[in-house]
Amino acid sequence: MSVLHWEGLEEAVKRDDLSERLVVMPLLDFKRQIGPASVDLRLGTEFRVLRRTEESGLDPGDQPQAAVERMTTAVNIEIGDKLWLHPGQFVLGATLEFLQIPATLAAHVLGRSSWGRVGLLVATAIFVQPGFSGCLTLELVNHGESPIALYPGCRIAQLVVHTLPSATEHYYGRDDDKYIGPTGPQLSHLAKEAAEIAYLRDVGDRLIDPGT
Amino acid sequence: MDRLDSEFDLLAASAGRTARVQRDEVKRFLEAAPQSSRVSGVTHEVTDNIAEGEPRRGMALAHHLHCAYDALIAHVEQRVEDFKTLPDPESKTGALTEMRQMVVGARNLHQSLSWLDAAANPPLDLGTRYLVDQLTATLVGSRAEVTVVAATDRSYATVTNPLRPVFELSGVPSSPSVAIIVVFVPRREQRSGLLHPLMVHELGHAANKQHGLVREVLGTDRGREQLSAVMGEATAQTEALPQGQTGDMTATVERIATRLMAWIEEALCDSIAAHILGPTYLYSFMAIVGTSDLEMVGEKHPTTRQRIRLLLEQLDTLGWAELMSAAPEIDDWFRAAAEEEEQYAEADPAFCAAALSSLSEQIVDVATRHVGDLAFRSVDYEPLEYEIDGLLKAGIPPSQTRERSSVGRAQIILGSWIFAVAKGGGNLDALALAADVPELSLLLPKALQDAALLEAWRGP
Repeated sequence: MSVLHWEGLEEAVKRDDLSERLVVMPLLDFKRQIGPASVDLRLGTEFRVLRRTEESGLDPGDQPQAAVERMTTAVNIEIGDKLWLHPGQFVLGATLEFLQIPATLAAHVLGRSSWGRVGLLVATAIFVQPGFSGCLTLELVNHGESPIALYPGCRIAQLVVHTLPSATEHYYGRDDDKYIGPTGPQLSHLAKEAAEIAYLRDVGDRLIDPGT
Repeated sequence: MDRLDSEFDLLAASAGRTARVQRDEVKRFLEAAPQSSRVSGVTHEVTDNIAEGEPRRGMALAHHLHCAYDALIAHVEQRVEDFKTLPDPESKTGALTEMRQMVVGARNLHQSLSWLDAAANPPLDLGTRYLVDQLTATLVGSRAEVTVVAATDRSYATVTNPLRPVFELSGVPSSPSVAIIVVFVPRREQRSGLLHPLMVHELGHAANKQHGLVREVLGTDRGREQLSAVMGEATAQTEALPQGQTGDMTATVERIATRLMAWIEEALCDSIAAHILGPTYLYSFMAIVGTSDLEMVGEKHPTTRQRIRLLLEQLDTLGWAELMSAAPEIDDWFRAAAEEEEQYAEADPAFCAAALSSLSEQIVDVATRHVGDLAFRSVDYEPLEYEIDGLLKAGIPPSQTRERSSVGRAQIILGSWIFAVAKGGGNLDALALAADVPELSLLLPKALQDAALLEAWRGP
């Protein structure tokens, strides 16, 4: 597994065959966005802002998806405008670019250092699977002491692309031909963990009382 | 104080109070504009996140509304002063009638506050908003502001300078420096693929109001001929009345002319939309009205059959026939529907339909001149057809070509419609359901947003 350099990235984004192409769309400024070994990604226009609700808290073992949705508000910011992110605040954003990672590649999304140095954390779930298609959800947190203005369209993250030893047949979305990738931030699907957490509870019961 | 005096006082107080309360709402919008005008879905919990700065949307409407309330309040105050000097019950009764109208006027203005809500929380996605902005600038002019309202009580409709009646009531001339346009779209369709083509038609109405396009059609030799024919038709109708009945010639002329002008306007807006979006407009038009009676006659609309016929003629002339024949079931249906002659039970619509047919060339000419660079022809689409289809098949919003140039918005919309119809089987059912195919409802808005950004990024 190796990291794609400038030449490799240029070749990957220009491939004729769409299923083999590294799709980064729209690529507003090719020269500026393709770096020595990464592609700069821009901030999209859609956000999900977390808000205080009457829910008692987030419990993936006992939380319908609707409750997760109630905890956020959708906000759209137009190009040229900005969203203030206050110290300690957490907001879901997304990349402006719609990505498609072919089965021969995988990627990591990382914050750009100039943002990191003012306290902005851009992404925590940073691995992008082969076959992923859509806008990447960014988990934006201001760890600094001052509010930070976020401008949709600005270069906020970078994508580091890796080659795989060969194309995987188990790429993301392979089993769902109706899958349409997200075009904005995706909410947590923690509720999907409920079945496994229920099983963990059963396992816990068996450990305490091996006779059950 | 007599009964007339106390009734007048009550009405004046009510009119003034209603206008002031509503004006306060507008003031709040203007004061909060940096927060409210740029953000959709915002609630008070998140307003702290929104930047200050010069707002962009809804401001012309809000300023105009504020002026309307000021004018109304000043007029009420003036009438209160005037009332004190009125000499007799007769003139006081006249003042009472006028004040009642002002109460009604102030109350009716209440609905315009929901337009401000729509400006603050736009019901449309950003890609569609940018499309509306582009179309408005070309069709209406750069000094125009469109507010789109998701309505539960009406279908697609457009109002230009909606506050004119209030200014007239207040005796103040209304000539806004910015054209205020309010477009209503059915709330159920605010996120559907039907929206884009029908919005173009609606903005055609605003363009007509601003630039007098119907007058342009009627100003041609053929147009003047048809206007003269209205007089002939009215004479014929009056003479055909049974003995003993007399017709009011002026009213008959006015009735026929009003219907003819409304029908020309509809055909003109259809033509503008077909020029800008090609067959997409016919597809979406049919997805909405195709289930209704093709020969239903309206005061404001020609029959659907005649509209299909006029649209097909235009699309064929623009070179779209081959592409449309790729969905033969739909194409055959359109052509069969257009071929059949409609039957009119009454003289007025029969006359207007014939007049409209004879003016079709002039209507298309005026539309062609007006859409300018927005004109979309099959030769513009063919080079990108394969690439757009490939991107949609791969689930990618088709905003940019492999050579990294932006895809035109008409190309994106047409490609998405063709894809959605083909995905559904290429038949009439597929046409009716196309608007909700995810590639159309999800990928299209994103592609429109990104294509607009790409165009603007590269400069004028």
